[in-house]
Amino acid sequence: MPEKGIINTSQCIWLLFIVIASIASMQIPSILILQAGRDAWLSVLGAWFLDVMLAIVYAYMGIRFPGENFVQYSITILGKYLGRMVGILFPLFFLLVCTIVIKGLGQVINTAFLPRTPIDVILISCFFVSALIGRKGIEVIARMTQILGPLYFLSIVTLCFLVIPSAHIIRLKPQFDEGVAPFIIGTPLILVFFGVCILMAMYIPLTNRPENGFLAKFSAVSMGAIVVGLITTFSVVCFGIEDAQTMYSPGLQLSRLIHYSNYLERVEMLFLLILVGSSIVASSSLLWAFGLGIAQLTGLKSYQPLIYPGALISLVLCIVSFPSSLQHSNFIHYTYPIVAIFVQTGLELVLFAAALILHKRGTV
Amino acid sequence: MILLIALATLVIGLAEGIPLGKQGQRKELVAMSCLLGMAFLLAAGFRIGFPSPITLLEQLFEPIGKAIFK
Amino acid sequence: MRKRALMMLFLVPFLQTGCWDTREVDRLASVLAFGIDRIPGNEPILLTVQIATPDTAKGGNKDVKAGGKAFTVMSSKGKTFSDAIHNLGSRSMRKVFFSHSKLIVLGKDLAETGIGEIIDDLKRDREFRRIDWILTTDMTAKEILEHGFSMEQIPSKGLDQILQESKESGLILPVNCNDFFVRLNGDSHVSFTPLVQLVDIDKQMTSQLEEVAGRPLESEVKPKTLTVAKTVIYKNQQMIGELNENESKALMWLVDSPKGGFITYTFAPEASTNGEKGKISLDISDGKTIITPQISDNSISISIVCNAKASIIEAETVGIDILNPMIVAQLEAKAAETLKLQLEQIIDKAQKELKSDCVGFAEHLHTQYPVAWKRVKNNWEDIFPTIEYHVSCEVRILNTGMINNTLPTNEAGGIN
Repeated sequence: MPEKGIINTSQCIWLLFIVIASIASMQIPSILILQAGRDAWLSVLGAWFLDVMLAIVYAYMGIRFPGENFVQYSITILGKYLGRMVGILFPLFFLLVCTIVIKGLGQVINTAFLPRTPIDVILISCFFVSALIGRKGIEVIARMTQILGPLYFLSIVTLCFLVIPSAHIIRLKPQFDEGVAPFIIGTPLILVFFGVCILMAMYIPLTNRPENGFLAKFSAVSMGAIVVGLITTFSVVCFGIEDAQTMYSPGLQLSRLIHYSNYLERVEMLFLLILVGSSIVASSSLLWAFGLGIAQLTGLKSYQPLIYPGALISLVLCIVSFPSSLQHSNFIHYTYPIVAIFVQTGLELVLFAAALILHKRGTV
Repeated sequence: MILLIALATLVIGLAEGIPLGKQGQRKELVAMSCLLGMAFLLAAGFRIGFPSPITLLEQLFEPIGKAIFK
Repeated sequence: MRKRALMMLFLVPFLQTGCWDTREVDRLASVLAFGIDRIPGNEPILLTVQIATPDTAKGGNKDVKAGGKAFTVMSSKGKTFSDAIHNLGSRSMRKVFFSHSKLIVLGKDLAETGIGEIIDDLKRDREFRRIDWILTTDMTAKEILEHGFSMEQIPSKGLDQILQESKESGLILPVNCNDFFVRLNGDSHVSFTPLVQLVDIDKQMTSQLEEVAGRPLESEVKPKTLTVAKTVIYKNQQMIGELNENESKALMWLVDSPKGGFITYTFAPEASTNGEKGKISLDISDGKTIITPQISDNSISISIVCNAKASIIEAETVGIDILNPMIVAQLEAKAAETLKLQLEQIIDKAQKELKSDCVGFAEHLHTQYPVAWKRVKNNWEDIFPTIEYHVSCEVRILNTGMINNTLPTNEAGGIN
């Protein structure tokens, strides 16, 4: 295996958490509120439940094929050629998510903080840093997330406590105003963003206790759901659904609402600091997963040489696919969920079923 | 932009490629070059009017997404 | 190693992205408050900004430049709000920077013709904050912003303090942009802002004093004072009317839970208890209103229940025994009645005069009876004036201040 690093369970939790949180705290809440209205927080709960269910499958596969990630066990299950065709979809999916994360981050920075800076420059610097981290391997990323993850979690919770004076719980009512349809459609929409922690299948072979895979994912998704749920709920109770669904980054807008008389205000820079940190670490672990996946598919000895080229592809994709924030928002609203549900749920369930039917098992 | 991408391709190619060449890791060198070539081709293709793969995905799946989501 | 150093050197410029947006503090003009008026012509928006004059804003520097004011007022006009901001650049030496503004004043003409066109920019532009106070004036915003306070060097800071205090004192409900927007988006599309006026209070009071004294007073002529005591009602982004001081206080009970307030009423003890007629003032420390709609075969009625905790701060009434629970009960009942009258008055005004739901009945109906709301939603404007309502108030007196009973005047050898 090209990756020699080993991580422990708590590092695995924070690695997964930071990926969910950075994806889900940019413009996702507003899309979710557009979709599910006041029931958005229920959709988050629903997605949390479904994702935990999905985690059981991933954790089981991790145990059934010890020491193998899904790129490897798709080859074991489906054979050399078909397995490779299926297996390559996972790294490509990670690259796609990385593109989305960095573009979303660049867009937030560009819109709210550095309006005169060309977005390409922001993107290049983000990619450079995340490739730098990604090339160092999983242990470096894990140690970074161990610091950033708790910081991120605590600051989001603190942020929500601080905006309580602006919140009016009546704006959350009535629930199920338009029936249950918005809630039901909102659930898969947010599930596909939680679902990026199929990355766990890349981490499980590297943890010192692979049997804790489910526990790690469960904790990470629960914390991720708390973060996303808090931001979504507070966006609704502070801005009302009409305004919240049109906002580019409700979390940022929430941090701009904080004011305690005249001494505690303008804390959005702290929010940005955390957002940048976590998004870059998240994308570095996505780039790492991409590099490792490709290296395993092609049977390379090391994945490090593939990280920078991967980052370059992702950067080019950012520039050529999303000329403006409009295309990006449209993509994550309409196209990404379909692609993601196919990769995250469809492919894994096919692999799971095939493993059961063909009686394939990993070798210890 | 395309110049910058070309430059980046070159710099990454040299920085990663030379050590690989020295160590004789042919396979790694080929894989890396392929990825770099893909990045450059994507940029070049966009320049002459080819759609990006994400745009293709969009054309393929957006109608489904629009049918489901508001 | 050398290669890595070279690569670093190549990429370091990209890590310096902040330099593109660099802004030196001494090149910025911080707007503390801004106002928007509508003027005739093809550039209908007049923007007035109040900027802290840099030299005086610096602490300790008493060497005030010509003019001597701590603030500068600048105006510019434009086709749209953002156009006016843009045009301001042509006469400001420094970059006009809105992130530090505390309040927004809307001129009367703008408010009456509709504020829809500026709301979008206030939400979209990254420099504006949703925590800025929003005020409407019955004059032009320019006049308000040019006027200073005698106790505060920078008037916008003074207004900011008035608004911060006013919620505690229960005089008026301050409204920030966020609440204003959310109410405008709400079910009834009715929102409100406090009204800021320039009132010649001093002149009024002097003339009243002169009447008593029977001679002209020897007082200086003082400038008019900025006053915030009334409320302006907006419907569909247009100003439709205003509430006076008492109605503004009552509005607070209906849309928020007041944290302060004041009730003054005349109290006459019942025959069974001792005492004479007089005025009582209660200070409300905490209030809570519960609004419950009730639906019975096609008619909607609203029940409003207010609970207030209060303390006596002045009991002019002579001879009553505040230690007697019966008297306290009477005081409480009378206070509740006064409060009830105030609330009924404003709901009446909203229904009959303004014909707009500034009291938030639509929200309560929607949250508690979503299905019924869907039925009446489209003709809510016609239904709202006909809705029956029932107000009941309860005031609980928790303490009587630093003393309990006033000494009877005759025992103290007083007036009698």
